[in-house]
Amino acid sequence: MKLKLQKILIANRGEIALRVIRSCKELGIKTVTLYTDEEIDLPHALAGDESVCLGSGALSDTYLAQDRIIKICKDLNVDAIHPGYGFLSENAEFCRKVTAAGIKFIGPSPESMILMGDKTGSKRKMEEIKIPLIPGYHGDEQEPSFLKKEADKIGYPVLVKASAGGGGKGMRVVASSSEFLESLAAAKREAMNAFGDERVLIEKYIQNPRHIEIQVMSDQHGNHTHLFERECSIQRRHQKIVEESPSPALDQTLRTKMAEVAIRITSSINYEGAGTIEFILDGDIPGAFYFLEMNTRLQVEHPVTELVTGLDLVKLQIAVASGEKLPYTQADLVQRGHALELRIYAEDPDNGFLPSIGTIHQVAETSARLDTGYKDGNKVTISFDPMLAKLIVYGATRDEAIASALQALKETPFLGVTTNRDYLARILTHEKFVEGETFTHFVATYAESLTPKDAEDGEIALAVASHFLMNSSPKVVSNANNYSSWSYLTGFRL
Amino acid sequence: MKKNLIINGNEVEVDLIKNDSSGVKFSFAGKEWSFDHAGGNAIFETTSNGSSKRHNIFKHKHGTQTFAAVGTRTFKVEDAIVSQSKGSAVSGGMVSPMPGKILKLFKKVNDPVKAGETILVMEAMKMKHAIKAPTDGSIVKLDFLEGDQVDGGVVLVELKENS
Repeated sequence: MKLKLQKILIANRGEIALRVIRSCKELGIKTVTLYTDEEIDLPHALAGDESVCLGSGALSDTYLAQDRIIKICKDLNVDAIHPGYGFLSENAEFCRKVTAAGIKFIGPSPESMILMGDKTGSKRKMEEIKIPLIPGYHGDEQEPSFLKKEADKIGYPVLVKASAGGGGKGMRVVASSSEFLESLAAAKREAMNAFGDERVLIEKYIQNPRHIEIQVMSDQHGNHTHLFERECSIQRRHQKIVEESPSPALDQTLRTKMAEVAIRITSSINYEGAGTIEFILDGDIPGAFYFLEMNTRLQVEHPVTELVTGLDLVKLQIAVASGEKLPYTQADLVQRGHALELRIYAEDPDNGFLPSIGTIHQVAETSARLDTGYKDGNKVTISFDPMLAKLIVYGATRDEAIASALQALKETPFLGVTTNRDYLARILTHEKFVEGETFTHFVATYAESLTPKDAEDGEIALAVASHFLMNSSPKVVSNANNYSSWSYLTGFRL
Repeated sequence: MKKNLIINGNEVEVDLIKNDSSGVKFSFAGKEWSFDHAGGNAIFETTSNGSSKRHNIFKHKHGTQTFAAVGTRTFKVEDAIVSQSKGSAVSGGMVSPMPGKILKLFKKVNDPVKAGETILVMEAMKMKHAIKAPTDGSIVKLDFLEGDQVDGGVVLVELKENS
């Protein structure tokens, strides 16, 4: 059944709210935006055709207030909710409530969300449909000699991890069979102390992992497609900072293989809408990759896929939610050129990545795609995510994309707030990055060569000159427009 | 004329030769530099061989500070004199350890405090930090309200020691 969506509420904020509005406008769909008291000056606040202030308070009273958001939809005759990413985007309970209220949730069914949101459940399902998982033992049998046999079967190095785990406690990398029992005992002791639970699981330890994900898009008519891969290995503290497509690590054979696995997943769970299948690619075993998890929403880094495919992912989401068939077939899709996305954060990479706050005096002056939720004069506070913007560039080749990215970084100063801009430039110019040697441990491995270089005299001189020039008035250029109304103010009387 | 500037926290000495409506000329790092406004974000550099070089520099004056983005670097420039006068007022000051939010104020201006007593609590990186008095004294300055956002390295409280 086709339904024409007339009005969409965006249950989100910042750059993603603005991103969704852009596509809605092009489709002639009305939008409703939400904002809090402290966000009134931010661009997303009043960017919708209608805007609702959520007041102030904890997120549970604002962007996460499910019933309140649904009531707003009813009051304003909203047809559909776009959840963006984060917040309620992967909340099955919300999805169910929205649907029950007769409003279309732009995303998959709650069943898909629940299945993929559950780590154990999703892995069991993947096993069932023969999706490659990281080899390991996750069972209840904890007898050391049994676990050793399992570890031998997996092949070394293996990772011993507390089942109750987290934060690296009760975690050991074991290099060989002879060290296993000793390391196991140590890991169990640590797990017992940290979590009161000495059970462990064993997994193959991947020394050189790459994070590669496949963008998928499915409609309600059983058409399951993929929009190629994104390489997101450059991360700091498990937070992606540079993303690209295509991945320098894939050849056509491997790309096809990973995409086929992704499609096998979406078709077997009868998925609907946009999603991302995340894989770990083992840098040491050619062609080895494993399912990590599936994100059942639009990703932060979706623009790189848009630039290489020429598709608008938000428009596709809306089309699918309206019950339309995907407007293309898999064979129509081509991955053209190379796209890079850089996440600009309000943080100091040279000081432990501490978040920074302040007033943005000048955002940017660039022709590159800049998805940001800020404009000149906005304040950056600690209340929200420190991501200021996504800078997305395109080039015919990877080298061209890198060159464009470096130029674009110079054009997006976010003046007034400390950002990771120079740090991103250091990554882009790093010899290993340029060679495509992208691994999830990149930032840690090359930490030393990613420290800032001393400023050159010429750069300091330009800063000095700026200071003096800003404090002296520029040349008064006489022009023909001296007869402005201000010239007549003399003698003006009320 | 010798001018001392603080650039990103480092003191830099320049010899200012000229600074008027036709541009600025100074010597720094053993070299003479000459620049002029060129409209918008652009600055013209007149090089020693007489050619003009165009630089695109985002710049903003904020109080006594100038922010200048040169390439992917950002510089914060301030006259050393201004910076020092701020510095002297800082003595006996307690500084925010990192950007955060003022959660609770226990004291107000003119209140007496004992060494070790908590004056305020701020929240940063999801942790609470108590700002305590280092000595006995009385509070002479406390410009923040509960709920205020503060940057890292900002003087939160100034204390006059008991003499």
